[in-house]
Amino acid sequence: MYVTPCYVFILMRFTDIGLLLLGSLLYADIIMAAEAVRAEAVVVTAIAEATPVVTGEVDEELNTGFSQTLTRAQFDTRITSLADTIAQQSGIQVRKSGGFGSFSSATLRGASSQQVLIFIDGLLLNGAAGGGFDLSTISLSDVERVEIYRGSTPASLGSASIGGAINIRTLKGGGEDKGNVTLGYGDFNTQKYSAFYTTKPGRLDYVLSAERFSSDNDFEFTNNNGTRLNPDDDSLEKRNNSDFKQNNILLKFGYDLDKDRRVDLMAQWFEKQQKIPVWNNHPAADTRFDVERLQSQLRLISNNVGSYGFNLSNTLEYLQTVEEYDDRNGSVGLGQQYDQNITTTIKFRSYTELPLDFQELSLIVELGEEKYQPTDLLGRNITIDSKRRSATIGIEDKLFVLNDKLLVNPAISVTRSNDSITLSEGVSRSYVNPRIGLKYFSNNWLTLKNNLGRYTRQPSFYELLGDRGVFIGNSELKSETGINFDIGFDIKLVNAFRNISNLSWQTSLFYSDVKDIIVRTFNSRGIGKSENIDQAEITGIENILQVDLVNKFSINFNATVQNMVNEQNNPTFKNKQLPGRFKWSYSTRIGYRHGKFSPFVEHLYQSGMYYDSPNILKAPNQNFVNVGASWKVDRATITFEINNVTDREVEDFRGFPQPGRAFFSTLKIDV
Amino acid sequence: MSSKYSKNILQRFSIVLLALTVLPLLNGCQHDEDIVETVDPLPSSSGHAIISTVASDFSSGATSVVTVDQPRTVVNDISPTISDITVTTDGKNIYRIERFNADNITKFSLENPGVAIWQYSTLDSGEVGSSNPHDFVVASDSKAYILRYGKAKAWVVNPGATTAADFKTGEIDLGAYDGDGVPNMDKGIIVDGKLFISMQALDSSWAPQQAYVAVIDIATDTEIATGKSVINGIPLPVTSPEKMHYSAATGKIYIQGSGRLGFPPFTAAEYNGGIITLDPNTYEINMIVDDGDTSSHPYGNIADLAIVSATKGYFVGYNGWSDNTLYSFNPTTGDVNPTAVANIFAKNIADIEVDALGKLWVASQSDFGVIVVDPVTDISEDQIISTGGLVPDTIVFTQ
Repeated sequence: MYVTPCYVFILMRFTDIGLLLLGSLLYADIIMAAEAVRAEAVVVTAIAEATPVVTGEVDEELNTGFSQTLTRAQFDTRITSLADTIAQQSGIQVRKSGGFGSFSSATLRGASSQQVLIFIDGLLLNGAAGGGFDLSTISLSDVERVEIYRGSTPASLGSASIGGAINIRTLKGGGEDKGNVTLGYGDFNTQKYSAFYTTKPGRLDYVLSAERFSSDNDFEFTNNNGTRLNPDDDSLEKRNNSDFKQNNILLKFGYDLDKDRRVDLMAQWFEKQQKIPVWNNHPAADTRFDVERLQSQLRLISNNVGSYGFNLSNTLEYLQTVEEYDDRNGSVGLGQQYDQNITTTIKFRSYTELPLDFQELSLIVELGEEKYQPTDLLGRNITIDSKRRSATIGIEDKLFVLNDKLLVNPAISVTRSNDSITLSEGVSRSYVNPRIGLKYFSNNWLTLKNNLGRYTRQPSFYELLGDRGVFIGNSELKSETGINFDIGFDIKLVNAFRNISNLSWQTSLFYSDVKDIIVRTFNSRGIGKSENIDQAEITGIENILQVDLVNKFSINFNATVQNMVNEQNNPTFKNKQLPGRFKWSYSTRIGYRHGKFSPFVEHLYQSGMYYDSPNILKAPNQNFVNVGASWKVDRATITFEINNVTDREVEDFRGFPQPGRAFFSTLKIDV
Repeated sequence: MSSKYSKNILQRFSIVLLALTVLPLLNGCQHDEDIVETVDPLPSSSGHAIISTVASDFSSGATSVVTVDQPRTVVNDISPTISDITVTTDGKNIYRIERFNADNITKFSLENPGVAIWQYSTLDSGEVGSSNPHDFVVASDSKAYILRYGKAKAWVVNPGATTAADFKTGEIDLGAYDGDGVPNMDKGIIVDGKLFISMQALDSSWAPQQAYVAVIDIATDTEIATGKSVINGIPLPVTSPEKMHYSAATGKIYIQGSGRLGFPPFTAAEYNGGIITLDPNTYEINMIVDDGDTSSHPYGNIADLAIVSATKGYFVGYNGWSDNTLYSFNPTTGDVNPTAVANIFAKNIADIEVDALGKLWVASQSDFGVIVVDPVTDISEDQIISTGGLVPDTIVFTQ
């Protein structure tokens, strides 16, 4: 009975053995090349690279939390998505409902996707409407860096939640003239075309970026016809109605008023047309989900203001997201559905910084209004608009003591929000979230970190209001709260050993006690309602190891083990693992550089996930291997890669397969 | 740093690195496919209760089997699966129905409920959308009916088939009972060689329309013209018909309709339901218990039904989300005792059924198990039958 899967498993293990062999070869090469140390850097390391800090942005040197930063070089020559790019990082897990363009959500340190905040240039994308943010609506073409803050979120971002935050920084202007054009093509008629250019003629600088990304997503998979216990009716089919296309344009203008003052204007337009496949892959399905998002920021930075030398950053933000779900033929959902949801956010954010001799004081003020307008385009149901107004004041100190060896970073934020919902009374909520972080610079290569904080997630409009015919609302919901604690160290060694040009090692132990988790429960009639009934205790350890060997090899290793215990009194769930998260997660990336040739191999292994809260439906382990190589010839870089080399069929969500083995190639030409 | 020292460090470091890389490989030869269960044989009993169970967050479901005789033996969490399931039985086998967007039926033997005998789809290859099977009515070892809530046609199938090709043997088109072509057939019952099928006829916004019962001659699988409407079937004076029960004592089929449950703030509850009787020979309908109207609805929506005898029956009053009360009534006169039976009120009641010994089983999701009530005294047994953490949803008995 188990012979065949075991055989496949052993075959899979050969892939891992291949990885090990490669590791051994690397080791041999290290020894052989021990004397050949070169000055040229070869590897893009991910732990917190130093970049110029703009007032209001996170200064990694002064951040006591545990974070990782992905730089553009790690994804700009590949056909990939934000979800795939961050999936291999420590503490973060991604769930996808299919191939490129499909719904993707992220969890951090065992927190739910709703408890993870996603920002673009500090602009919060999570809507009050609810649901985990869909990472597939972020285009990578105009991204310069992805900052992942695990557990504790820097105060300068304003908003914070229980899991942490992912801040996506778009391309910056102001540097030297640069740009590139990237053309990509691969299996399933996947096409990606992007270009950007940035220049600074005088005081003015600007960034122009555009992308078109599309795929038929007609990958082959085993359709079990909905009968998992009956292999006789299984068939190998191409995925139907899963194609998508998206366009993204970014415009950024900056103007240096003088050496201390600068004004920035950013506008980004994104649209995606996504088809939604039916669970049984019926070819006649035509369900679609379209998203259009427009966001804009106007920011004025003034440094060295007044006799105390205040640094100010004032930002006005606008965000509008229009979602349209069309299932008029009832292919996917229960009955016919044709809905449009419009979410509009206007926010003013003010960051004031007072740098002193041994400390830096900051004041963050946020005033915002978010309006949510759902419409039944079939005209059958009443429209219930919702509005959330919120005000947040935060104070932060960054105090150096013990001869600058210890950074003490206390912060507190006070938020008051008011929900105004048609047909019901407005509800106001207030919460105070204090936190403190410590960073001890033991010497020039060892840093110790410790953080303790309280974080909150407000109930979403979906949880408060319910949904027609499926969920009833619960206006009495409280906010979820979490107490996060972590402790660990960073080791950074540069040229400390003859053959190791860079070594970074980050280990953190984390603990989170989450109360009043909002869970959808169902009554005897199958009608759902959100209630504050769950609580959970999450503990875990994260390890990130990055090594650059003899300027030829880069080895990145991430490992996370987390225990996510549901502590709800409900005997069904008590002491069970929270569903939808893997308990063990490991990833390895080994890159090699020989002249203009740079091959790499990646391995992601995850296990210990349950699809359900009672833990009776165990998800299969995941085991992915990707390989690829790049050739750089003058200004051109050609990349060829094979994803999921072992052709594993994987489902993050039961019944929604992801692609098997796939080939992709890109050509990037620097301008 | 000396070369020797550096080399030692490097070697040790490489060993650690390789060990870290190897760690994932040491998880062993794990098996990702569905695990075949073995369930210990159940003791003999006057009958067995088969209970579909569900996680309260709807993230999974399973099956429990309980002996009717005391002391009761309970086996829980059999064949874990999705949550949207129900069960039926022909006395020897368990038929597990996976409903919306799952569209399959699995047959298990009562002797070994952990191993599937067969599993077949309830969708034709050309059909788009879910068939949402709601009931599996067994007429004989070689004939059964699948009532497909999401489609116009019920299926005639052979439960003894060994291949999918031999499973479906015919179909019955009931699309004429609803303007949208989908009559939302829900429950079926066979009485005197006739299959009675209740149909809820919801519109596209799930509002219940004129409900019907279609009558099928199971010898020919054709619809019988009842003379009660131009489309053969029997129009009902209640909406959203759900439970159907035939009482040999009164010779009537009892049908419970729940009206429309409220979804505040979107829709208010509508009280167009109640309990009616249907004469299986003359097709005459009588209202026994009316749920009232917008201004007066003493029991709320009437959400379930069980008949013990000609003079004793029970129903569930639905007054809101997880606010259900168990009432008793006289099935002959329709008189209702307005006091909650056995203090079962303000609970989440998923199903009520009567076992072979005449006792009432109440699937109480609030209590994570089944409460058994003696209809003679209306007193519940001290011990609640635990369904193992998952809450009980549907109860059927082998006898």
